[in-house]
Amino acid sequence: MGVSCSFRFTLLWGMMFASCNSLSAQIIIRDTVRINPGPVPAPASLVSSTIRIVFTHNGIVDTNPTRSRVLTIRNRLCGDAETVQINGPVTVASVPARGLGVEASMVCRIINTSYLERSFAFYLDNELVDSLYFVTDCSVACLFQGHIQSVPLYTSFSLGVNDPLKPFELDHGQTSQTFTLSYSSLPCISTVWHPNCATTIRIVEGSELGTLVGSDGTDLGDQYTGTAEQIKTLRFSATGAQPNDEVGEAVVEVSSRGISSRVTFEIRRTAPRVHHFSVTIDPDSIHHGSTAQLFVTARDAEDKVVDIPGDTRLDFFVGSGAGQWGDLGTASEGFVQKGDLLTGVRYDQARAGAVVYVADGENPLGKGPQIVALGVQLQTDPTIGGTGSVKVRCKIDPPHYRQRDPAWASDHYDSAYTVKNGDSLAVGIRTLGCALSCMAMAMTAYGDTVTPGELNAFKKSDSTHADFRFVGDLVKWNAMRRREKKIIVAEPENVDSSFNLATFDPILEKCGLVIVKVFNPESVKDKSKEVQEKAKKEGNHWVLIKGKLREEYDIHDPGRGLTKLSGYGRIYRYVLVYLRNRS
Amino acid sequence: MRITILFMCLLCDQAFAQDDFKVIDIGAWGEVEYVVTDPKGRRAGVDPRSEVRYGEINNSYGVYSVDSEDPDIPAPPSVMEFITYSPIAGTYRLTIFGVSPSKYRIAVTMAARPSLSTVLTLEGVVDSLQSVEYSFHYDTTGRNAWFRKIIEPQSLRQDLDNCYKLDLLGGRPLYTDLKHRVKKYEQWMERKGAVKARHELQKLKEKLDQVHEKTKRGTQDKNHFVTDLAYRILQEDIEALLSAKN
Repeated sequence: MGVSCSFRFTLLWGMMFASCNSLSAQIIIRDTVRINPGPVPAPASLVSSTIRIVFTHNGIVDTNPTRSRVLTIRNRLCGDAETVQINGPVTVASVPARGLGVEASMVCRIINTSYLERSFAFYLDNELVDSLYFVTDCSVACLFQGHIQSVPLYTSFSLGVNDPLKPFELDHGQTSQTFTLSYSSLPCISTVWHPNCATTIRIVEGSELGTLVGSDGTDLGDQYTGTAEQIKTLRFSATGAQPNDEVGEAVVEVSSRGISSRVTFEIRRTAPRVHHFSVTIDPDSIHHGSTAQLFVTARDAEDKVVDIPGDTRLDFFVGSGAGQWGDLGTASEGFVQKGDLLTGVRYDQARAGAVVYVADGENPLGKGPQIVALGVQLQTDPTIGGTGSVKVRCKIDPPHYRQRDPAWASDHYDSAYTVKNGDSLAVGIRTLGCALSCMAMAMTAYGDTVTPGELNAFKKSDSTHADFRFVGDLVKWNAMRRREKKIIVAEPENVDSSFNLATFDPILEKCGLVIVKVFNPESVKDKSKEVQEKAKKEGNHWVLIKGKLREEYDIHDPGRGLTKLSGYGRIYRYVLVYLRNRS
Repeated sequence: MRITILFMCLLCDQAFAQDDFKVIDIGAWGEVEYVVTDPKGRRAGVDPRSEVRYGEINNSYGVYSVDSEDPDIPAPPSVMEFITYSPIAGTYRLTIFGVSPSKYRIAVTMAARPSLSTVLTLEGVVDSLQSVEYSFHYDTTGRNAWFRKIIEPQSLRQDLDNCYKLDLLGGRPLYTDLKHRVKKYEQWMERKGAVKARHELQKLKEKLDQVHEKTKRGTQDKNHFVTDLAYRILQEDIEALLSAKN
C-alpha cells in the first residue's frame, strides 16, 4: 500500500496541514506524546513503558474515502538492542479516511533510563512520512523530520538562580541574579515539556516583599509568562515592604504544562521593625483658623525611635466625627493635598512636620474645645499606626472700640448734660460711653455689627422694647439682643473682692465674653477724696474680657486702653455675654 | 390702713417678636438701697439697717456706675440696679431704705410677653434709715403692669419733713404751717372724724397749690416756696389719702 505523495505536515497553533499533490490532509496530534509512568522499576532496572500517540485528523487522507490506510509508528531506538528492546510488535492502527482519531501505541522495554531520546518514525502504508511536525500544546512546534530526527522532550525542570553562594538570600532592597532553568528528562513523568513552551513564573507567596524585574530593570509585577530563555533573563527584586519579622519569605514558582518548580527567597529586613508611630502635634491646642504641625516618629515595641527609610509612605487621616472642624494638609513633593485623608506622604517629610492640621472648618462658638483625633498609618501595613489629638478652640475676635474714637466720641451720650460756665453742655460717648462701647464690641463679635455711636443712637430712639433703651443712665444690657437672638445676656452679678476670676474660664473657653466693672483711678485722681473713695468702693469703669492667655485675662478697654485685666485689680460686677449653643 | 397710688401700664410697647425677653429691671437713683421681694417671698437687695444682703432671687443687685473720662465733667450718679431675666408673675414688694436724707427716683422696667414692655417711674424722699414701701405687679400677659406707693397714715408727715429737710420746700414758717395742717388731719383721723380730716386735707392741698403756683411764677421769695418735686410727692400723698376717703 503505497502513497502517491509524500506528506508534509505543518503546524499552526495546533493545526497540522498536510499536502499531497492535489490532495490535502490534516493530522492534528491532539496532545503530545505521553509517556506513562509505568510500573516502578524492577530490581533489574528493566522498565516497561507505554508510548501512546493519539492522532486526530479531520481531513481527507486519500482520494478514496472508503479506503483505510495504515499508519505505522516506529521508534528507531526502541529497536536498538543496546538501549531498547522491542517487546512486542508496534501496534499498527488503521487511519480511517475520515474520523476523529486513532491511537497508536507501542510498548518498549527501556533498558537504560539515564537517557531516552524519543525518536519516532511515521509510516503510512509502510511509506515513510518524510516530515512531521510534532505538536504540543505550546505555541511552538517541536519538529520531527524523518525517522532519524530527534527532539528532546523534558519531563521536569528546576528553577534556580545564577548565584553559586547564596542564591536565595537577599537583604531588603537587593535584587537576585538571573533565574536559571535546568531541564531533565526523567522517565516515569507523565508530562513533557519543551523550552519553547509557554512558561509562567510568578511570586506565589510574599508578593508584598518584592517583584520580578526584567533584564533592563523593568518592574514586571509578580507574574510573567514567556519562554524558558526569556525567563532566564529575569530576577527577583526584594524592593517591596520590609518584612514584618527579621526574615521574610517570598516563594517564586515557574510552571508549564503541569510541571512546576519553586524556589524560596529569604529576605532579611534591613530596617528596625516599626511597632507604631508617635504623633506629636504642636501646638496641641489651637483656635479656629490656626494651624498645628504634626511630627511623626517611627518607634519599636519598646517605644524607642527606629529608623525607617525616608521614602516609606504614610497615610494620614482625621478621626471620625471630627471632620467639620478642619483639614489635614501637606505640600510635600511639590503638590498640595488637603482633606480628611492624606495618602502617600513620605516618612522623612512627615517626621519633619510637613503635615499640618488647619482648623479652618466650623468655628465652635459656644462650645468647649473640640478634640480632633489625627491618625497615621503605614501605607503598606495599616495595622502599624499612631494617633495624636489637637484641641480646636473657638475663636472670638471683638473689635476694640475706643470711647475717644472721633467717629462717635462727640455723639451725645443718652441724654446726659453737664453745666459748664453756666452753660448746659451735652456729654459725649467719649466721656461716659465705656459700658456702651463694651456692649457694641460684644454685639459686633457675635454678628450684630454696630459701633458705639450706632448703638447709642439706637438706644435713644428705639421703640420696640423698653428694656433696650437707656433708662436714666442705665445702659440696659438686654439691648445686646436687639437683633441677634442667639446672643445670651446673663443677669449682672455683683461680686466682692474675694471673687475668683477663674469663674469666667468655662465661659471664655466657649468664646463667651464678660463685661466687667473695675475701678479706674485715673478718672477720679483729680476728684475729691470722697469721690475717689466712693469709686474705689463701687468701681467706676467697664471693660470687656475677650479671653484668657495663660493666667492673664485679655481685655479690650474702651477708655484707658489697657490690655490686661490685672492692670485694674479686682472686679465689682460683671455681665456674661455668650452665644446660645444650639447643638 | 393702707392707701395706694396706682400707676397703670397705659403706654405699653408694641409687639416684640421674641418670646424670651422677660425682664424686671429696677433702677434706683439717690442715697438709697432697696430690697425687692418676689411673689414667692424671695428677696434681693440690701437692708442698710441690718446691713444684710439678700440674694435669694439672684445676685444682680448692685451699683451701676460709669466713670467720666473728662476731668471737668462729673460722673453721673450711681444707680442701684436689680435685674432678673426670669421673673415670675405676681405682685412684688419694693422697700426703699434711706442711707442719708435723699430724694430718689425709681424706674421699674417690665417686659412680660413679646408684645408688651414698659417703664414705670416714681419719685420720693427719704431720711436715713427710713423706709418707703412700694409694690408693683408683673404678669405674663404684660397688660396689667402697675407700680404704686403704699401710703401709710404717717407717710404725709414723713414726706413733708423730708422735703423740708432736703430744702424742697421752705422756709420754716411755711413748713410749720403745713405741718400744723397735717397734724390736725392726723388728729381728726384718730378721733374718727373723717369729714373733718378730709377737710383738713383739702385745705392743705389748696395751700400747696397756692404756694407752688407762686413758686413757679417766681413771685414767692426763697423763704416761702414749694419745688416741683415736693409738690408732686405731697400732692400724690394727699390724693391717695383723699381717694381712700371716698
